[in-house]
Amino acid sequence: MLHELSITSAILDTVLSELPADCNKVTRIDITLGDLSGFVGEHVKYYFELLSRDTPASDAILTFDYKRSKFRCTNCGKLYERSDFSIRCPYCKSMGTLIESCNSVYINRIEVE
Amino acid sequence: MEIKVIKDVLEANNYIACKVKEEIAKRQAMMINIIGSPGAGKTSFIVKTIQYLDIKSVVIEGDVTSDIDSRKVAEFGIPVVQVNTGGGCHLNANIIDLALQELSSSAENAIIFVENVGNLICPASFDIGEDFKVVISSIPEGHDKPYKYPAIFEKAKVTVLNKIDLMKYVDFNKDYFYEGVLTLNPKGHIFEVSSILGDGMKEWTRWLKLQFMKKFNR
Repeated sequence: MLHELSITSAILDTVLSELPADCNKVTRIDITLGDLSGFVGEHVKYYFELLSRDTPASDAILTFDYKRSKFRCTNCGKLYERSDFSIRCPYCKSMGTLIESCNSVYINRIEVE
Repeated sequence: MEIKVIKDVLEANNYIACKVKEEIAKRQAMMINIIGSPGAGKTSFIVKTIQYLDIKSVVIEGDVTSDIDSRKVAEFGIPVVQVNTGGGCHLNANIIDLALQELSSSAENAIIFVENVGNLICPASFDIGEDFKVVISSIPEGHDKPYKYPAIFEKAKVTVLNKIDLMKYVDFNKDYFYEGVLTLNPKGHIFEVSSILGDGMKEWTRWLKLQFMKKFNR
């Protein structure tokens, strides 16, 4: 859980740097979280509550759009997503190749007042 | 009011990482970010690697606290700088920027080995301006590491399977391990080594030396 501390701090810094001068409250933050990043949205929320105290983002609602990486099976050619302890194709059990990696954390949009 | 942002939250870190990369190039040096779990054998691997190399080398030792690893490196006469994160579970580009200033001329025409904090999650996300990442996984840790921590195995140019001499004592499925690494990173390089006995070190350091020579057309 410790792992989300730094990334949450970076989220808060980014949000506050985007806040226009004539706004004093962030009400919503939409975040995209890649499955390969290893970060967990619920843990980000926990740290955000602590870190955002006494900032304009203290009451912001965080939403997460979880992006799943895509693999292509080298045998049957089907696209699939990774399950927790397997990277094999769920259809034919062959090996695949990572073709779309989702390992980043992005802020998509914020809502301010 | 809605504001479209679409920004990588690590943009600030990445900006400093680019500056570090430029500084490394200016010094005609190469920097390698060594990442692994606590106890994977990172320090022993770095020391053994430097002993096998005939290239000037320096080390930046990252730890949450303590200078145990940097003292171990210094015992071998290797220039080393200790950086402590004070609770942080990874190094970032800013820490490395400061460490490079401390190393000054000793980090010129050299390979700079950065031992990251023992952790397989955060160090994968935070670039430090390295030429490439090396992930060390050891036999006693088990064969499931690429499946549990895919980001680092995808991003590392090199996977080192350390403590290979312990294979006969541990239930380690090498095929399963390789399959995980190669699915995530088909172009990655895998080296099997024993940092204690020296097994596999010739192959690894031969490859490393080639990367160093190629970087500056030496």
